[in-house]
Amino acid sequence: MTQTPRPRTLKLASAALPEGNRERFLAEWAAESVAISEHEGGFAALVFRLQVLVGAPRLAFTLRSAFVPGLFDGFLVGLTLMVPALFFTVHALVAGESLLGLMYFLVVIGFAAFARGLWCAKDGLVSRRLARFGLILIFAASIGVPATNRLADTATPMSDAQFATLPGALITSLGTVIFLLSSKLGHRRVAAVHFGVLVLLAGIFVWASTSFANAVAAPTWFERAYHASIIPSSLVVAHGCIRIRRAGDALVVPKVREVTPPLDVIPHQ
Amino acid sequence: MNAPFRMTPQTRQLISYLLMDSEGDHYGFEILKATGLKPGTLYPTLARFEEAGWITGTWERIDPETARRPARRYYRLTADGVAAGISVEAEAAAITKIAGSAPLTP
Repeated sequence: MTQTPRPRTLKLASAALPEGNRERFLAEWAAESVAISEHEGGFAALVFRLQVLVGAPRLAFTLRSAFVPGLFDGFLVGLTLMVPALFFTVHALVAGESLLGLMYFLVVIGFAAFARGLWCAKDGLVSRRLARFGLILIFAASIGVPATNRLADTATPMSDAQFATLPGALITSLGTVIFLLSSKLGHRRVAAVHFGVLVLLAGIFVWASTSFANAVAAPTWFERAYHASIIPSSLVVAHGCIRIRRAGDALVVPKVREVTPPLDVIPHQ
Repeated sequence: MNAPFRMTPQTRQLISYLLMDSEGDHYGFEILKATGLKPGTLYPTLARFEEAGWITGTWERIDPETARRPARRYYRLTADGVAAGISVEAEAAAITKIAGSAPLTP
């Protein structure tokens, strides 16, 4: 190792790492930065340092969670899905809307099953039964929440929102139904899975857009946060849908479909 | 061989690249340039490989004053890493064969 100039971006990136790894990675990155600067110029080295900075939290998590497959994904899913769903549940119960609280609780259970089915299989493939059970619960709740808001005349930021989230919920539910029924369609099931997931994605897009508009139009910060908290969850569910599309291909071609692309290898050393 | 982590396309790409010169030493810039991976993907993957015992990392033995550059960290495949890489490539080849013979759409 050597006492070379260590750019602040790299120092900042290494500060995110566990203490025992900081010096090692800082020295390694500094050496790489010098090599890139010599071969590709100062701008490429700057881009490298910024990419290292952006990737540092992921590296930090990897170093802290070695040999725990899927922990990073599971952590993100837990954070983005469970927190807003639990928040809505508690909020509804505190507001005295017990039926609405029950509906949101179904969402919590549904998301938990869906996330578990998607992310916790070690080889990355979907545990379809669990994911579908989760989707059924989310489907039931996506009908139940707006229905409860309408029939029980509830008073929550959702029911008082400027734009109705019902269209997004209905399109999402339609996509879910197509997806759930796809296994009954014989040789057309792969096409049905893909179509169902596309409708599901469209529904999530409408739902998230409406929530964003509601958040912008909301009169208080609490209500803005209430509506905006759905948006990260939508992104996670959309990511899950893309995984299901890949599993749809796996119904025809066993396991994963991706093939390592040919490498454009430069002469080494 | 079962990997103790998920085999993503990037993971497969990295192990395949290292396997092309399984007895050689590789460093970050060279791997980034050859594979097109981003640093945010490369370093966590190298860390996982190292934890799994697929590669070993050593510091280059140079005098930085004489070489006028800092020492690099080099990575080399271990025997376990070579076995894992061969297994991964065999799996990829099998999938390619199946994908080539089976229709992807009904």
